[in-house]
Parts: sequence; C-alpha cells; structure tokens
Amino acid sequence: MWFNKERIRSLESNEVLRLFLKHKRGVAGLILLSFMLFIALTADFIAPKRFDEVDPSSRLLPPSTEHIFGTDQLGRDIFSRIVYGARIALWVGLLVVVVEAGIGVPLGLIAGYYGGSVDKLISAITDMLWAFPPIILALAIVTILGPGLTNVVIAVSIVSWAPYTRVVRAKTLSIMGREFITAARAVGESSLSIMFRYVLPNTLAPIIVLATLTIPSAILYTTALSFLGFGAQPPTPDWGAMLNEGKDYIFKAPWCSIFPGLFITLTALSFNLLGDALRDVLDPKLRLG
Amino acid sequence: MELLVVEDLRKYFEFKKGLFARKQYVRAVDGVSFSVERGTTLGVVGESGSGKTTLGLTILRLIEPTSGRILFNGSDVTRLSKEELKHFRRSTGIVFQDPYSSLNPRMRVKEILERPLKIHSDEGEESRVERIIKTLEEVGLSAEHLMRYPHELSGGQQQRVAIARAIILKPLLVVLDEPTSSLDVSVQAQILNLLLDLQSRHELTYVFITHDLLTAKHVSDFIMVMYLGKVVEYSTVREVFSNPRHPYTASLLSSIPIPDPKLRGRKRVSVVGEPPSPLNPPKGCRYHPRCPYAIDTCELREPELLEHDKKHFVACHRAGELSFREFLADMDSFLSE
Amino acid sequence: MRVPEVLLDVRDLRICYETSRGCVKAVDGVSLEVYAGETFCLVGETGCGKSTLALAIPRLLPPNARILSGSILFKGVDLLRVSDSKLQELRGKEIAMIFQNPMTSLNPVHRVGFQVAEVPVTHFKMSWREALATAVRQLGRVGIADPDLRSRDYPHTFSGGMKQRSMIAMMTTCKPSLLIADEPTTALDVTIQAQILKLLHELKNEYGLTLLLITHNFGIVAEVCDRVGVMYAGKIVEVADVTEVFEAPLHPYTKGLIDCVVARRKSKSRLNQIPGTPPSLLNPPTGCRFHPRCAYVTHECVKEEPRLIEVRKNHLVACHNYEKVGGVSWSS
Repeated sequence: MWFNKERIRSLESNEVLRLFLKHKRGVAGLILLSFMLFIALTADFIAPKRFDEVDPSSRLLPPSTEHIFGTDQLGRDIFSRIVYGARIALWVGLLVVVVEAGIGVPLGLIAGYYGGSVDKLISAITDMLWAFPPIILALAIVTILGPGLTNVVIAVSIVSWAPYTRVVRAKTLSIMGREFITAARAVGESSLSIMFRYVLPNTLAPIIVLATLTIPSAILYTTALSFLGFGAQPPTPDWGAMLNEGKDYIFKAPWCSIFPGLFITLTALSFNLLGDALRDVLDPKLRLG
Repeated sequence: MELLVVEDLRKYFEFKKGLFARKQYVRAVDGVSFSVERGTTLGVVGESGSGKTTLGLTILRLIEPTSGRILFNGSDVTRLSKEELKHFRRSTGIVFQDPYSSLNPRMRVKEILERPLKIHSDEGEESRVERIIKTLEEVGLSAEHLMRYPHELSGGQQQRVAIARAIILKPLLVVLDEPTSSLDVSVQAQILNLLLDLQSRHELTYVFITHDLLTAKHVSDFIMVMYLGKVVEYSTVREVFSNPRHPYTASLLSSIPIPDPKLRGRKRVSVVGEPPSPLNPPKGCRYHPRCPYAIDTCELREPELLEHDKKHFVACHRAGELSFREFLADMDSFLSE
Repeated sequence: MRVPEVLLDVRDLRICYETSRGCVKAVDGVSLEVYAGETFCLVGETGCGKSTLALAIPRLLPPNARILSGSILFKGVDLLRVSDSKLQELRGKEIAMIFQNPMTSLNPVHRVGFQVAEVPVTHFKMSWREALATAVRQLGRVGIADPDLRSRDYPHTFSGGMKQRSMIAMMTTCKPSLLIADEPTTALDVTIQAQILKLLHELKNEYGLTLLLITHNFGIVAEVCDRVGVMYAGKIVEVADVTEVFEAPLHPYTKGLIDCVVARRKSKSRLNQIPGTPPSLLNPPTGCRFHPRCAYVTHECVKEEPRLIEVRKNHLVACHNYEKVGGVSWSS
C-alpha cells in the first residue's frame, strides 16, 4: 500500500538529483566528462605548444617533463594535440547526436502518433537501417561525399538515428494510451499540438539517456573513420587520425597511439557511465526493480 | 429537451490473431440507443468488458463509431465539419478514472487549464488567468495551486483539476468515466458532492459511467445497465433499483456489498461463472450461460430491448414473468430513495 | 462466555520505510489481537499502513522496510524472531496470504496445477502424483470448472476471477490456521467479488480458518467480518465487533467513513464528507493524527496523542472525545 503510484510519482522530479548524486559510477562519469570538457575549453591555456607546431629536432621522444605524453613522428607535442583533440571529439559527438535526434525523434513521434501504414513504413525503414553494418554503410557514404570531418558527421548520423526512432516510437505508443492524450483531444487540441506539447515532453527522459549512450559510439565511429583516413585531415589533432599516424610507430614509440587511444576510451567511458546513471535515475520503473 | 440522442450506435474493434487468421471483431458497443435530457444524469452501469467506457468515448467522438447516429443538440456528431467539431469539443467535457494519468505530468495546473481557453477563445492573458482562478475556486482549489505540477497534488486535488478542465469552457455535456473509483473513500464523497454542486449550478448534463451501483444510484436520474456491449435494462433510477426486471441487473444489485451487517444473510439473485470473452459472445441472449433463469429460447434468440412498463426497457425473454422484488426487499432501505 | 483463543497477537509494532527523504513510519505502534476462527477486518484508506501490517506477519516486507520494535506472536511464537527456515515452514502451511492482484501472483511459466501441487509437496513431502490429484481436487473445490483439464493450463488463459480462485486453492491446500487476504477482490468485478467473498467464507467454515482481511470497502466489512480494526495514518484508531462499528462507532474517523458511504442517502443529496486528505507519514500531525480533519477537535487532541483503550466491552478506541461522537446519521 505504501508503494502506491502517487507516492512514487511525487518522488520523481525532486529526487532525480539526489538519486544521481548517490549513483557512484554516474558521479565518476560526470567527473571524468567534466575533466574532458575542462581541457577542451581551456586548451589554449593548458596546452604547452600549438597542436601543429613541428619540431624536427625532437621526433618520437618518449614522455618526459617537457613533453608529458611524448612527441610524434613530426616532433609535435602529443599532450597539446590531445588537449585540442578533445574539442573535436566532444564537438563531433554532440553534433552527431543532435543530427541523429533531429532525424530520429520526429520520425518516431510520427510513427507512434499516427500508427497504421505510416508506422509500418517508418518502422520498415528503421529496421532496414538497423540490419546494415553501420561502419560499412558509413564508409560507403563518406566515399560518396568525400573525406572530411563534416562528411563523417553526416555519415555517422545517417547510419545511427534508428535507435532514436525506435525509442521515441515505443514511448509515444505508451503515452498515446494515457488518458491525458484523450483529454487533450477532448478539449480540441490539434495533432501537432498533441505531439509537441503532450507527447514530446514526456519522451525527453529516454531521449536524454539515449543521447548520452550514443555519444560514445558516435565518437568511436568518427575516430574509426578518421583512423581509416576518411575523417579529419592532417594536421587536425583528431584522436582517430592520431591513432592512425601512430600505428606505424607502435613498437618504436607506443605513446603515439597509447595516449589518443586512452582518451578515446576515457571519453566514451565517461558518457557510458553517465548514461547508465541517468537511465537508472530517470526511469522509475527500473529504479524500483 | 433532449440534449443527446444516440441511435443504434455500434463500435466494432477489428483485430487479427496471427498473420493468416481471419479478421475478428470485438463488438464493444453493439446497437445501443438512448437519450439524455438536458440537466439530467444518465448512469451507465456495467462490469469490465461491458463496453461502457467505449460508449463514453464514442459519444464524444474520441473514438470513431462503426455505425449509428449521435445527435447532440439536434446535429449529427458523426458528420461534423472541422469547424463544427471544434464547437462540439467546446460544448463537451470528459473526466477519467485515474486523475494522475489524465493530466500531462509535464504541465503545470495553469497550463493544463489554459490550453482549452487558448484553443477556443482569444482573450488576453490576464482575463484567462482570472477565469482559471475562478474555475479552480469553483472546484475547491485556489490560486495557490496554479503553479503546481500534477504530481505535487493529492489524488483528490488532481481529480478536481481534471474536473476544472472539463468545465472551464462551460460545456453542456460532461462524460464522467468512473470519476471516483480510484479515490479514497473519504475523498469520493467530496468529489461526488462537487459534481452534484456543479451540475445544479451550471445545469450540466452528465453521462456517469461506473461499475458501482450505489454511486450510480446516488447521482443519476436514469440508469442504463450494459452487458457485453448491449443494453439489458434502461429506466429511471427508482424503477431500476426498486423493480429490476433483468436477471443481470438483479444479480448486480445482489452482489453489492451492503454496509450494514444486519443484511448479511439476505436473499440474493445468484450469477453463475464469469463474463465470457467479448471476442466470442454467446449466441442468443449474451447473458444466458450465467443466468439462473435461462430457458431454451434464451439460447436461440437474442432478446430485443422492449418497453415493459412506461419508460422501463428490458432486454429479456422472461421480463414479463420474472420479479425480483422479494430478493431485494431486505435491501429496500438502501435501494429506494 | 468462553474466552476466545488468541491466534495472532501483534504488540506495539513499529515499521518504517527507508526512503531518500527520511523514515516513513507506515505502522506506528500497533497492537492487535486476532482470535482463532474469526474473520478480522483491517480497514482504512490508501497509505494507512494496513498492507504493511499484513505483509509484516509472514515477514514479506520489501527490503527497504525496517521493523523498529514490537512482536508478532502467532500461536505463542514470535514471528519476528524465529529463524528463516522455521518461518519458511510456517508460510503456506500455517500462515497463507493472497494479494490484491491475482494477475501477478501466479507464476506465468508454470501450469496452474503444478503451482498448486507444489505447496503440499514442499510442506508435507507429498509425492507429485498425489499432490497433483490434491491440486485438482482443490481447484474444483474453489469453483474452477473442469479442474482436471484446467489444471494443465497456464495462468494467462485464466480470467482474473479464476486466477484469484487458483491463488485461494494454492493457499488453502495445506489448511493453514491463518489466511491473510490483502484486498482480495479489489481488482475484480462486483459479481465476481461476491462469489470470491462467499468462497472465502465457506472455506473459513470448512477448514476452521482464521481470516485476516484487509480492505478499504465498508460494504465488504459488513458482509464478512466478525471484528473490525480501523487504521488511520499508521495507527489503529478503533477496534470493535462489526455491528458495534456500524451502529455505534466511537471514533470520529470511523463515523465519518461510514457516514460518507452513499448508501441510504437520498439521491443527489449532499453526502457528509471528511474534509481534507490523509496526512503524509513523513511528518504526521502532532497529537491525534486525525485532528486536522476532525469535527470534534479540542486543544487536547493537538497536544496529546490518544491511547487505544477499551471504553466498552470489546470496544477499543483511541480518541479523547469519543463520548461526544454520536451514532452514524442514518441509523438514528
């Protein structure tokens, strides 16, 4: 009796922050992400060198007090490149998510709201996309569009909006069964108004969770494409491109690839931890289970 | 004057079980006719699966009927133009069972009540807020609740907000779908009192849908009893409760737990088994497998809803010969006015 | 008069739920005696602690519940202090429980007959063959048509009423001494409700069960109970025989609840109502917890909490002003 719906609901909003702060892994993810954001924002101040400053006299130096992450094959300071690279990684991650959500969310809303053949068509497209190996498809798209960071963002977004459509569609379907939707129709709300005033605000929680959970894969895909040489072109300090350049010296100068790799992993990890925590906190059903 | 006239209304839900299966229909509402006079309350009573909720949604055209006519103020609701439909929305309101589910959790009370006004009138912010506060006060809330979210209100307060939303446009007809069933006993009485107050103040017409016969009796002028999508009995409250003619109505009345320990050993009209699946309703009279009074005819032929006494409609082959007065004699103090 | 045997004796029980907002005292100092062979009803509104109390008896409380103090003596054994294995043995065999929602109480992946048969196999080391035969018999007893056939079906093919019957069959195969039924008919239709209540009553007489029924419906109280305990905000405010409760309630809350039932009111007349809503148990009102909603409130009620005392024979009430509370309005 104590666990009645009302009381659980009343917990919802006030408790989100408190519950999040109790979530140790979530807090760890947030700290890690804050660190990445910090170095990205303050790159101009904390980077000892410019990211494209070539110094032929100090090529492939191991980590030392002067170059804490060592130098690469052109004598560039790896730490500085990584710090500037954080900007690219985070920006690209964010951009991809915005474009993905921009495509996926409206489609999901429309499919869930109208149902019937509209839903069948959208779901069929989503499923088809889902069945494709994403990296191959992205490769194909970049090949057509040509290399470059913008094109990589477009390619990655195109191959991975499907989860948004699925999640939003499912959530929309469940919301459409709630009585406040019928009540909205009874007072004369239009379809558009119902979709954006009543359905969308109630799908935000899963969208936020999904976004934090897809940023790491967006970062991984873009770095993978950059690693394959389709993404950022030299001398852009893209972590994936750095990995690519460093692979030739993997035995001679492993720091060239270890540090970019480490930062890719840590950034992806921070979003994953954060996303998991948000899901735990925002989804009351899981919380109770 | 009759505000609402419903003629032979049907709503069949179609669904397929499996890829190659034949289409099947659930006849949620199957040929229902009735009328409601302005300022009165029609109580629609039935168990789960009786189609009472579908009926409520269909007469407001929140579900498209399969066939039949719904005349509201003389015009056919099933054939309204977009503009007329908007006007119809303005003249009708609905209140649901679960108040929390019927309020958008992401909107504050102010916004919930503001939407109908924004859609249907172009008055300014100030006069809108004034009207909202006036309506809130009418339902027993106040300006302090304006900026609250639904989850910050108790169940009773949420239901008051839902009622405020239904009446803010001064409608003629309000459909109340189990408005008190999910509330605590002490709050139920508050809400029933509120609904009756509002009705007499604004001359509202109610269609009151409920499974609780005692509540239906308290608020209604007419009672319509439904079973598996069909009307089995329809008359004034007094008639239905003092002289039920359909065995199902009688067994419903017998099944009510009466809050008086002295009536424990009273005679009852029994009912056998459980309601069958609406997907596959029994042939003939839909009630016959559960009816202790069933005869051969009941299995073969579906009874029509016929007027037996003045304004007392019953759909039973044996309506003429059966009387349940002796069973209900004990409960008289509860059932008669 | 013969002194009735006390089967269940709850003493000064306090249970709280740990939430991130603090400790919620769902049951706060409840003492209660249930006599062997009677039907005792715990009645109250949402959140009054009646279900928590019921769950505490077979120690089935959710993990965030904490028992702060008190004891629950069942046939002289303190259920809060016996070992887990002993308790396991008592559950199902001596103490059985059925819940409000029959849809979720049965395991969807096992056949109904199997689930019912499992109980005697566990508790009486009965052979499966024998247990299955018992299960079929028991399913028939609770009113499942074609029990032989239906016992081989899975729960999802059963209607709500049949599931609740199956639960009852499962819980009564071992003929327990105490059956706790938490809102057993709330999710069911009126006609099915009447059938289930009748069944419980028959089984009670047949097996000599003691029935502890939790409900919010005063109609059900009147139909089946011998004695009633009324709960409000984690406390018991009144205990009495059923007729006494309906004819001469002494607590203003009990009176209010009985008064606001629509029966016996002239159609469309104003109902007597209790103002306000039940309080939050996070910080309940001072003194008597009902005082903010009470028509008979005095200074004493705000300051001092009334104790549950026997003011008439077999009639306990926790109210400072019980003498002023008249009978219910419709019976006078």
